Formats: sequence, structure tokens, C-alpha cells
Amino acid sequence: MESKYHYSPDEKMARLIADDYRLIQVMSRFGISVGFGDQTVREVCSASGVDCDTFLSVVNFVVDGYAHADAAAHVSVSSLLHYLKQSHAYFLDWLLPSIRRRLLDGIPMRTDSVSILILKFFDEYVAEVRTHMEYEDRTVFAYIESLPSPGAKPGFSIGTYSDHHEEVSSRLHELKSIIIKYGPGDADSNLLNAALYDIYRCEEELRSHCMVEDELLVPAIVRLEKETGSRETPQ
Amino acid sequence: MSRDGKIHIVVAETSPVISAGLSFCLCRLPGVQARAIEAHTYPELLDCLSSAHIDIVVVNPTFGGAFDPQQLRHDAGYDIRIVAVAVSQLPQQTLRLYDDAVSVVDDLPTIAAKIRALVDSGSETDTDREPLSQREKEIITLVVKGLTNKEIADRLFISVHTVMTHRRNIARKLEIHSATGLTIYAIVNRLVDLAEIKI
Repeated sequence: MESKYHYSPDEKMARLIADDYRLIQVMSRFGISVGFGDQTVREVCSASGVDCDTFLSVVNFVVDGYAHADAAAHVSVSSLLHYLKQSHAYFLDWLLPSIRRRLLDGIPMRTDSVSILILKFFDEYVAEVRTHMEYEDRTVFAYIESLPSPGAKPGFSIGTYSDHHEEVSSRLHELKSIIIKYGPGDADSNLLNAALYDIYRCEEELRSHCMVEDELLVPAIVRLEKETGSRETPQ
Repeated sequence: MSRDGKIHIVVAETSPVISAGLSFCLCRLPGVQARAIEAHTYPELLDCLSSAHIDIVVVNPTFGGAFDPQQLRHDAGYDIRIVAVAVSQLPQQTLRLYDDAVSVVDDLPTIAAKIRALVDSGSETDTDREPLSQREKEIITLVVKGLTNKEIADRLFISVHTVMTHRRNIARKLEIHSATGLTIYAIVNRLVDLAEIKI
């Protein structure tokens, strides 16, 4: 039978990155650092204590743009949670603050209200993303971590965790178009372009992140809930 | 259209060469913001449809042996448009089962017009070129000054419901959904005086 995965565990790790540089992000969020020489995906994963199937599920998801039907079955929930938490930290602690710095550098912050409003818009957006991701960390992920034990929070199921993801990327789309259409004409174009490039990238990465949550995490948890449920019934 | 404002297209074609060519072109259609993913088998196509919200399937009628558009509509479980892509001449009775057809020898503006027509046939119209009405501008001014929907309704002698309809139309036309975004728009377009608003 043909391999379900685009990439197999016997692929050289370096080749994955050479094929698609976005995978550097995936790698580092799994806690894999560079300097792995010519080792295969399986070897690198095992040396870094990363579940290889989960890693490849995310890798193939990012490359293909959709989840294979049985991808969720191969996923280790704890590895995936680790990955998603690292992604949250990356957005909140690194990428969004760095975009803000670039906006501050690129747009002259006079008393000019448009510049200040653009920054305000951005700050409001970051606050929303933070609320959303902290909700996931505290409520959704905490629920998932408690799952195999019967002490799981009553009344919460993964179905409750519905699609909050719409606004997360559409607001960024709005910010981009506001800067492009109404941004100050005397901004430093190199700095402002750097900020815009980062926003485009951030939008793309957030979209991919949300899709991993929706298409890999949620199905994996639905499975787990079913298994837990069926295990509890006979008792 | 989806959350990122793009039209999501799956290219269902067995040949990776043709499928890559199609998806490359679909992402570069003039005036169409599209994102394309490729499916080379029927199960892959179903995976695409279930794991991402898809607007349009562009499919070779010989896909997976003999492709059945009705079956796909059923399997998808939500409303999708299906476009046949013709590598050679296709019989009329085949084409009748599809929402539209494009040919591999069509130029990009022709394909773009068809794709646009398919997604616009719903409720969305060509919003970019629709200017704001005087009333809508008036409402933006009041929103930016910080008035609530109720206060705006009282001021203009219209119902709150009407205010909300106007606000929805404004958001749609300008693609701005936030108060801060509207304030920026209003300042740049001189709908308000800087002195009138507090930031």
C-alpha cells in the first residue's frame, strides 16, 4: 500500500526543510533544534523525544493544506498539545510583539491620529488573540490533559469548543488592508514593508495553526472521548 | 467565501502535472483571491472537502474513472460549486451536471470571470465598486463619535434595526468591521474633524 504520508519517517530531516522552509517552524515548536546532520526524521524525533507520527501528521498537513482522513488516528495527543502550546507562545511572545515593534519603527508616531489608531487597532487585535489562546490553554487544553481520567471537567466536551477561529485571522486581514489603503504616506517604506510582510506571514501561520487545531486536534479528541466513554460504560 | 476572504478551490485531477498547473493558475487569476489545494484521488478529494471549507471543486470529468458530480454533492454534505475542466471537447450531457466548465486552453481572464460569477451567484455582489450612500457616511460619523446604535437611531429618526442594517452594509462595502478601523477610514476621508473624536 502507498504510504499515507507525503513524507516518511525514513526521509532525511534536512530534506524536509529544503523542500518547504515553513517546516522550520514546525520543527522548532516540537522542540527539535537545528544541527541534526544527515539523520532521518525518525532518528531526529527519537533523539529529541518527539512522537514521530505526530510530527509527520503536522508536517504533511502543513505541506498538503488538508488533513488525511486517518491522520488524527496517528496523533499522540500529548505531543500535539505540546506543539500547539509552543505555537501559542510563539505568536504571543515572539511574532506579535515583533510586528508591533516594526509598526512602531515604520509608522511615524506623531500626534497624527491615524498612526496611533493603527497601533490601537493592532493592540486590540493582540488582546483578542491573547484572550482566545489563553482560553485554549486554560480551558480546552486543560480539559484534554485531564481526559483519560474520569475526573474530567463535567459538562465540557470538545464539541463545546466551537469555531472561534474566524475572527482571529479576519481581523489581521482587516489590519493589513487598513494600512495599505489608509496608512500614512510618509512612513519609512522598508520598515513598514517589513511589518506588512510579517503580518502576511502571521496571517498565514495563524490560519495553519487554527487548522491544525480544528482538523487534527479536535478529531483526535473526539476519538479519545468516544474511547473513554465506552470504557466507562461497562463499569 | 471563507474566513480569509479567499475562494477555496480543490483541484481534482489525477495527473500531478495538470493539477499543479491548474492550481498554479487558479491562485493567480486576475481580480480573484483564491487558494487552491490539489487532490489526486477521490478519497483525497473527500478529505479536502471535510477538513477545509471548500467553495469550488474544479474537476476533470474522467477523475477517478468516471466522476459523478451528483455523488460528490451528496458526499460533501454542504453546498459546493463543481466546475468541469476540459482537456478535450466534452459532450453536452456531461456538462449539464456541472455548474460551469473551463477549458485548459482558456485564458486567465475568462477563467477568472467564471470563477467570480460562481461565488457571486450567492448573496455577495461586487462590493468593491459600490460606493457608500450619504446615509451610510452619516452613520459612520456618528459611530466614530462614539454614539450607540440606539442614540444613532434616535438622532436620525430611524429604527435600531435599520441602523444595524446600515452598519452591516458599511462593513461589507469597506471590509472594515471594527470601530477603530472605521475611525481611521473616517479621518482619512475627512468625514470627521479630529477635534470631534476621542482616540
